[in-house]
Amino acid sequence: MNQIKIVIIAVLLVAALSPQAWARVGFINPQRIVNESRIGKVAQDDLAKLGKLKDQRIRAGQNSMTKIKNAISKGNLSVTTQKIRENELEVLYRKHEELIKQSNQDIRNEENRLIQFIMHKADKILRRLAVEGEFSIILTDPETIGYISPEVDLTDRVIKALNEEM
Amino acid sequence: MAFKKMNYIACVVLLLLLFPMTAMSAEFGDIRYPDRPLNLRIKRSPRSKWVGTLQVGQKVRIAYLKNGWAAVFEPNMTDEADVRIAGYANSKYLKKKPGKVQTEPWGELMHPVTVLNIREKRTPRSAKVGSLTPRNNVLVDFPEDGWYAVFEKGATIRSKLNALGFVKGDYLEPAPAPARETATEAEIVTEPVLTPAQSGSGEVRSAVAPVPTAEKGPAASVAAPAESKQEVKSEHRDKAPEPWGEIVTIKHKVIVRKERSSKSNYVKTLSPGDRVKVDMLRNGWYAVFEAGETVRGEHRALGYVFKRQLEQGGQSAGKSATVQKATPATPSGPKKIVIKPDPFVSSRRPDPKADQHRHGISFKVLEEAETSRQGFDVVRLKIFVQVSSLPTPNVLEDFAATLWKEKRRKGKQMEILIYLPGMDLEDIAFAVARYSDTEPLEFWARRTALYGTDFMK
Repeated sequence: MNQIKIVIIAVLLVAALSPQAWARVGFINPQRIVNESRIGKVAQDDLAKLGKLKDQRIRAGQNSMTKIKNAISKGNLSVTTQKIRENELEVLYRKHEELIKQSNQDIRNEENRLIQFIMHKADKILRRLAVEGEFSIILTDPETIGYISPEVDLTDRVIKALNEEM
Repeated sequence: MAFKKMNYIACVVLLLLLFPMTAMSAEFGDIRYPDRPLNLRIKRSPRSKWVGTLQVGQKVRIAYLKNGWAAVFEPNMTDEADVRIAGYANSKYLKKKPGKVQTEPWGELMHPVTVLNIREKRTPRSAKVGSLTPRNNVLVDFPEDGWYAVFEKGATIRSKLNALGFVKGDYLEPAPAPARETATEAEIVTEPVLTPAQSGSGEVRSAVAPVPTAEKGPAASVAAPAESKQEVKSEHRDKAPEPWGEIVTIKHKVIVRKERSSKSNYVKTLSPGDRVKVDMLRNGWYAVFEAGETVRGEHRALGYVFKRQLEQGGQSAGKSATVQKATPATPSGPKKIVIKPDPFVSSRRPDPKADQHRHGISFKVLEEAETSRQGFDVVRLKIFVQVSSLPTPNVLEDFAATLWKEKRRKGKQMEILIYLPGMDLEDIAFAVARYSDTEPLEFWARRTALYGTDFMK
């Protein structure tokens, strides 16, 4: 009976000490990947370009409104023309508001798309690193982590691998 | 003996009880989840008329599988005798298990100003299929010729066939902002028999999409539009801005971060005596603004401060009368970056072969679908351009303009997405061109999309 007990304890000990029993946990910081990788910087440039484009359209709309407003404020228009101009201004104003709303929405959507694109690429690398480093779990949310050893922080390696593909 | 008999009776009773339950639990069709944005067609063919779209990861019910095409229904339609087909979709993209989810709100909440009849078609002479009661919000979409498709309370599938019918837009007003949240409370009085809305065409009014926390780039770019908005409002409407936020005087040093996270980039330190406005408390972080800021928008924020730190270092100088409630609340929390479960599975396919030529460019039209964008009907063209060197934006802009002139339709916007060799055709395009039916609106190219192609190496 004792022999059986000893065997069981030994088996349990071996099982507990085997490498499979240890779940190796890694970590990446997605925000850093987006902010610090070269592709992330390209994406930021792209986003800034889109912002500029939207801004140009908005300014153009504003200029049109200012012209009409100036024409009205001169006070030399006939009553009918003034009414027409005021209606025109009202229509332009509504369009302008809509354009601003759309532009903000577009920029937010674009930002999401670009981040998803980068993270999709980063994730392929992450998978490879996880297999190579025998990681069982890789965490991605810095908010939930109190401490992480630099050895298991894979962010720099992912950024480096991302940069190498450019 | 008596005990055995009792057992026997109990078994029989249990079996009898279980049988009807099993029969009742057998639902009509199967639940599926699209693994990509999926077009819904009026028939089982990719060439048949487009009627709507399914979003990635959206839960749907399918049935009547034939020739690789399935009829798609709302997931809550479990009674085969009372279902409405929302369209037909290629079943190979409809997966049993949910994968990634990318859904955006669609349609627009409006309410009728009077009792409004729902018609079978976009004409006042068509059959009446129901009515709307005044001041009750309804979800509408696919505006065309002054008519809107109206949807059932809780409709999830954006398809013309999924509409209850059509209502005249003249009698609809946008739902007030706070009421928009109670979208599903819309009251629709329907006629006893509702047939599938078989006709009509048109499109969207998109609603508010998820608002991520602003990056440095976009924040800078968004700031200008918002600024203009405020300027215009004050010039033309002469409305006093509603008070919002809370002015605080800083007592101790407080660090302002770029995001709602202590790990995010440092922006600045607020020193004792500084007066700032705080608002939009989410996840224990306030957005912090200049004390005199009048525009309540996160893009105008200096950054974010941790509430507890602010409480230690800040002294309230009195709340503004009310916190502006009309502004739609933005979804809370830091941006969630979703990673696909199995990124080893690449969706990239071999480059298609060009079969047309314009402007000296060989290309292939990959897809021509109708969709909607922020309330406008949009014809979307996905184009693959076969080139060996990176074309200049001007060349692509000219090329896109030529396509637009050939394919534009009255009353519809056009969006042309241009892909280059080596790119994933299901992912973001290299160039995007947008046109109204009369003039070009925007053209821009994303260098990011070239990542992994020969054009970037």
